[in-house]
Amino acid sequence: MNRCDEQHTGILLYLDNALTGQKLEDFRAHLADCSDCRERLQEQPALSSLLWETRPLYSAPEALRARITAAAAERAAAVSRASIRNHKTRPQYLMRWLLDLRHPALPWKLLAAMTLVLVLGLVFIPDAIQRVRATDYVEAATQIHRSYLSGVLPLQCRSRSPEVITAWLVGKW
Amino acid sequence: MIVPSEKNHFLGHVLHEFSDGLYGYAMILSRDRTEAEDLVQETCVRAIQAIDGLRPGSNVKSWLFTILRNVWLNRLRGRRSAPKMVELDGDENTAQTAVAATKDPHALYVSKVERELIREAIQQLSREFREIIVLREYEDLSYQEIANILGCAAGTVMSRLGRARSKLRSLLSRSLRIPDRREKGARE
Repeated sequence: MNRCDEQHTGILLYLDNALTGQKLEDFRAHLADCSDCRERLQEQPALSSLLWETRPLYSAPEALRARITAAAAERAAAVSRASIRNHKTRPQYLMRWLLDLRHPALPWKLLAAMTLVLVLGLVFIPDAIQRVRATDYVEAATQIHRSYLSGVLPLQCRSRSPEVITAWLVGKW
Repeated sequence: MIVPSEKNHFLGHVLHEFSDGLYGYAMILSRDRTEAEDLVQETCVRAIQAIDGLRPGSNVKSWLFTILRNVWLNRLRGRRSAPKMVELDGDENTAQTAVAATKDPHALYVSKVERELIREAIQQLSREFREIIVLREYEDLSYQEIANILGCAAGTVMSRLGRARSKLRSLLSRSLRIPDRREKGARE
């Protein structure tokens, strides 16, 4: 490779105004001495303009364009649908499904019955839970007392000293 | 921030805009119309699948050309043989008719003939030279963008482009108005 073959890069950079400083000076000095590179430099714009005028080199067939457009549109639509679905919170989505006026998912009578059951449940369930808890407490207390009477449950503390009893009670808190 | 649906609309627009460029690059790589169409279509499918991972501010054009090249290389590896050479003659489907609405019929004819000659000349170049001519001269990609697509240094791109242009000039000098320095030197 001779010195001029190495100037391919220099010519391209010079035409792109990308040569600066010492590199630009060196390239200009080379051009002043080398008629071959001067000619090369002058030839470049003619080739570039010829290639520019024949753009595009190939045109995509219409059928291919149509397939590309359809594929992109299909994807965009799918993403859009998924995005709408994801943006609804679950209760909103459930309510919309239940109360869609045009196409109700459930008949009105069934929907009314379900609502009534829900309301009654909300009223009576807390009371029932409270009664169950009270019953459990009474049964537990009775069981412990019986264990004590039958001697199965030993005393945890036996003393006549108020301080000892107080200390035991403090430990229970 | 671009939301997913906007990204997809944007990609649709971009794919449409670059379809000629992608098809041209695919033709340069494969030298076969059917395979070029397949390459572009697969590139679009992969781009659509990968669009969510594309970072804001990315160079979409360069990204698409890189995908296309990777698709082609994968096919080449899969085939484990050299690409089939197909005769490329004129075809109204691929010949550009919408060059410039302002051109008169004679100018359009000249332009079409020139394009055919240039295509033939480019297709005679080695694959490395063909690629670099198309990416730089037809797609206006920067040296760095081309380097990223080809996986080489920007300096390599520039020296290769210089040699590719010299070779192309030499080929075109036989058929077009481009003078060839070597022939001129020989005459003198």
